[in-house]
Amino acid sequence: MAYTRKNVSRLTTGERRRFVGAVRELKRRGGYDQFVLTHVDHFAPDGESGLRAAHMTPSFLPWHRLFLLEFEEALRRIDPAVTLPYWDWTRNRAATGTPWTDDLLGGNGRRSDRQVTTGPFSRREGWVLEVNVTDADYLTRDLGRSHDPISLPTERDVASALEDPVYDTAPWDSTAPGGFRNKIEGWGRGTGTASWRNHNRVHRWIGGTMLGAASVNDPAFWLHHAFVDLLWTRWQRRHRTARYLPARPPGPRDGQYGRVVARGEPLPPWDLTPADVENVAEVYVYA
Amino acid sequence: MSVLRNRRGALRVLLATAFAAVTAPVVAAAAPRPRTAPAPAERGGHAHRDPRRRPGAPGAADAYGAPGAEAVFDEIYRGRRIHGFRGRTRVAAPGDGVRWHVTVDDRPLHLMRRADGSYLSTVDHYGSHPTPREAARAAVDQLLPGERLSGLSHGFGAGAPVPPGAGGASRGGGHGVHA
Ligand SMILES: [Cu+2]
Repeated sequence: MAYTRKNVSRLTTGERRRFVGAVRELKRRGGYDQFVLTHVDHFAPDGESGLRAAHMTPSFLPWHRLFLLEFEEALRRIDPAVTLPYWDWTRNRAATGTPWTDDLLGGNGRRSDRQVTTGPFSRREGWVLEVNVTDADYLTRDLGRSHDPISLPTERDVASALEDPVYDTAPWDSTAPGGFRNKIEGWGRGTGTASWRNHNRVHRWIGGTMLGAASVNDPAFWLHHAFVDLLWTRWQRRHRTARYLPARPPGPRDGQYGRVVARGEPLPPWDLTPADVENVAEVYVYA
Repeated sequence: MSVLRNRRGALRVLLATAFAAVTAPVVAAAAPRPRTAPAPAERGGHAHRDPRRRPGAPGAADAYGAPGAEAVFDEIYRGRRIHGFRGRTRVAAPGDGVRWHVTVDDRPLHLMRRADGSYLSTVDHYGSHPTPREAARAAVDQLLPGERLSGLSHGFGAGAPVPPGAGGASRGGGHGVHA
């Protein structure tokens, strides 16, 4: 039986408590930090050599789908009733509302050092970062980027990505001019505010820990990526015959030879392929 | 049609085993995060170094233990010393194939290229900057007083060549080198 991933704004008090409890327990057992490391280790940008599995690549969506499934599985081993909630940042847009409450992710970082001091993921509550890009061992956030405010992506921003009937296009990287994948991952042209779209822009809006290589340290990561995953299912519903691309690996004369994962190829670190996880309705559904 | 329907049982097993196998060596190789604050004498000490030192000055590269590299920028930005070398050894990568070595207060800041030629760092992963200097400054913008880089990286420093036909079948060159 498929289980349901709910909108975080519709969780009951008990569901919130159990989700937070399972995440904290996974951290206590040491499992959480392995997820942080896995994400760090798979960040291969497109201007370097080597295979890109997780970012700036067609498999951005299936890679994170598997990563979330893995995490959810770990939570469900601790508490079988728990599923990953998603945060619809097109609707829950306030820095003080859901999910930034004391019974979920906790609030914004404090002014002086951006340290998160409220909620269950504050250092005082035992959420100590073991793997980080700096020597800070606490979570930081700067919701909305106080010194130079930016807004969350809007429903319109998401809609323009969902409208694209093609999954991804050559050159299959952060410069791909079209395709749902790059529009939702959010690598726009150039640099600066206008170039950060959808998924990338949300990382920037949260700021602090969520901006760096160790972004997984902030449990907001999972709620954000669950929504990105939901958007993939929405895109699939809208373009019923569209599939993951590329269907076949780029050839030896292609600049992307050996650098992207085609539909039927295994997606490291898993043995599963993008085709294996295009349809997950048997495993979970979004409500 | 749904491969998962047939493989659902297998999916569960694969997830559990593949993940454990992959993360174990990474955990072993990762440098432990320094848990203690640097001694007062050490903290921020290098920020006081002579800012007039010229990029490319003789001995500059040696001083940073990067033989064959030349200093390209060296400045104090918001109280932090940003130092960047452009490596002379070209690597198998798009663009000019040049590898940068950038430090903030003598701690390595790992920069990576985007296909459009811009740079991102471990501190700011979801956006990029036209030059290494701007990427380093953006990283400093994120640092709080007293906060220092940990040196965490993805392990692209080796610039490992792409194995032929690596697509999907190999883990590529970017793994497990948390040197
Ligand atoms: Cu993300």
